[in-house]
Amino acid sequence: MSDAIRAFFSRLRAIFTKGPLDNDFSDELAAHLDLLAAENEKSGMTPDQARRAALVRVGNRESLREMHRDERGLPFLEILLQDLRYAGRSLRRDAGFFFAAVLIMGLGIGASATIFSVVHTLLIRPLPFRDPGRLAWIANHEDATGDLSAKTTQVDHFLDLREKNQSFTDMAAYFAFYGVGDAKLIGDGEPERLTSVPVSQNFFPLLGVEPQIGRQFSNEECKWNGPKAVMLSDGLWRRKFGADPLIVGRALPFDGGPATVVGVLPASFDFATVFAPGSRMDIFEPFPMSPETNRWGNTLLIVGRLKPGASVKSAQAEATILGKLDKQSHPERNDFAPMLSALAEHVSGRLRPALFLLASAVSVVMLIVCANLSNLLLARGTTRQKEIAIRAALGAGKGRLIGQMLTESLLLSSCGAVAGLLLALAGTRVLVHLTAVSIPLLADVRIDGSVLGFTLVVAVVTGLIFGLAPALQVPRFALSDTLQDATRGSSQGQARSWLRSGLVISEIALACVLLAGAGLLIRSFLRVLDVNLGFRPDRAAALRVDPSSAIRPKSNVTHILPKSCIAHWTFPALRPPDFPTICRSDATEAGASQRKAWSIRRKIILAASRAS
Amino acid sequence: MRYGGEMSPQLEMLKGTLDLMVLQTLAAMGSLHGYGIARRIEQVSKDAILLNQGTIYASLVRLQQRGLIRCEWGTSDNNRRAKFYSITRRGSRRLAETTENWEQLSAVIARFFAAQKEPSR
Repeated sequence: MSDAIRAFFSRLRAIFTKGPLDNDFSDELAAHLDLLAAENEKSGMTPDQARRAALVRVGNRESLREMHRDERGLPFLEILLQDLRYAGRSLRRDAGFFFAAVLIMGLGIGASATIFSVVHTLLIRPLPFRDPGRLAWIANHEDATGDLSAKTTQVDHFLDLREKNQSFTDMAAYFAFYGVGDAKLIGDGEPERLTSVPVSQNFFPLLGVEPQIGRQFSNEECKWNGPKAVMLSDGLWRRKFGADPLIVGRALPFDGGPATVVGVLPASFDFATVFAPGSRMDIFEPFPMSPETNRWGNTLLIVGRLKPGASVKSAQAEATILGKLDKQSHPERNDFAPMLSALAEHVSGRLRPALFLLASAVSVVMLIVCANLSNLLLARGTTRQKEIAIRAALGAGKGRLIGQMLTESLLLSSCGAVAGLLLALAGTRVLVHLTAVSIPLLADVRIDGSVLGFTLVVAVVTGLIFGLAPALQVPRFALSDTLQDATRGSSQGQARSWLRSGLVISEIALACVLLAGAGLLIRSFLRVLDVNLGFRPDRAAALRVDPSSAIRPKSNVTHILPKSCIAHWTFPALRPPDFPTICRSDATEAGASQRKAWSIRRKIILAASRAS
Repeated sequence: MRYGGEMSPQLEMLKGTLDLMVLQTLAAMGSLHGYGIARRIEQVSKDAILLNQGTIYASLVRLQQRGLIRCEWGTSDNNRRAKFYSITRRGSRRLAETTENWEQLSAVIARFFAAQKEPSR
């Protein structure tokens, strides 16, 4: 241990054993004086003279004690502790003010910490994959179109691009038209709808995701009609199988036949939160890159890992050329115009303006909080004029008095920060469980070290901002005429009243900005709610029926099945739908599964109205 | 703050010198109380270092905090309870290093000044 560290710790220790150490030193000095006086007596002085000479020789005892204290302790910290104790006492006397201030601060800091945790997760924190900065998203055509089949890529195009490019170490893909709830786990107990995402064999290795138990998909499993295999998400593994490590190798009964569990993905990997926000993925199956799947047309969404030195821009240039060449040499294939973007940009880029708006709103709230507290403290300062004047008269320097006021405001803002953090914890918990909105990575929002750091900085900065104006009033209070006549106080407040009205004006101005912004937002939101759906959603319920693909001919699916459903209606709370109100609606399914015209399976949504 | 945080370089050096003398005294004399150390430094340095004897205690606190000396209460020759200081092994090591540095430095400086005084030819 170095000298400095050793000394620091023993100085720190000395602060908390002040009394004993002071006594110890007094004893030591007394012993010193005795020894010196005895020596002096030996050389012929009278006891009185000897004592006096000794006192002179040793030096002023009071200043020696001060020197000893400063040398062994941390004078700065001791003054801080003293100020903190004093601030604590004076705030306790004024509990109403204290709670009001902490509440105001807490609301402000809680809001900003919550928004920061979202901004941090979406825009600052890297995606939860290995080396996420090198991951690129490869869409077909423009990413701006809403239609999924215009964004996806045909299997052969993918295979060609993957083989011919020079910019990527590898590319992986997943099947974009997985059906939410299409995989039905049957067997013991109640059958359960699960969502299964077909992925290319190298999908997890490319992202750097290793199964926590088991293995990745094998070559054999990724062939057309190969042995059926699945990987489980951590959530499903824990929920359905009680985190049983022996699950690997077991065959699970699905409605389409048994599939062997080859591995369980780690809890840190959440497919949905990055690629399909607002939904939940349970299992993953291998997607064969074969002539058969090529015939399905545009199906793939592609992720690539850039080589070191390659940029999205250079890779884009190359992919554009390769895409054109591919299309020229294979006119029978679909169009292919790769559009590249950084994966992080693809995931959260479109939310940037919204987050910026939120962050600005929260900063305005924080400014209002500061102005508000500054004003409260100024008002409080008026009642403390005498106290400050007395302290100044007793010898407290201006610096010390200003320090004292700032310590008090920092104490307030720290208490506010604690309250704010509690609010932010609750806030993020609510956000994480929001399933109605599809914001990527939302499930990852949490209070972590950076959010704590942010809160600390906000607390200190706001404490300094709102404490500054009141603290700078101090020197004026310290003038002796405050003591002599406090009743004349109203005449000296010219400058302060300017300051206070300035604060009030800015507070109201900022509040107006917020109010106008919020009003406009709410108006737009109401417009969105006003859109005519063509039916009354308030009393309607949707039931999903997945007919077996064994029903032939297909027309039976849309004609006979709904009839038999209604005939066997067993939901007492729901009135069976009138026959014509059956909609076959695959396009309104949640998640990314917008069906194409060639849809293999069909689902029937029965619109039933609740029995009143 | 009574003693400003910033110290002049001379004062800083003086403190270091005093600390070194205390260490050397304890190394030479074994266990001593504050008064004894102060006396010894006065005698050797001919009263050049200590303004008053109490200053020695600041140095003792510094050395103790760095683990270079330790202390315990004991009884002096004339039966007075006093705090006795002695050097630790860490202190002896530090003393040896510092002494070496110090000697090298003073030799260099002495040579340097001697060379400057010689008439240039």
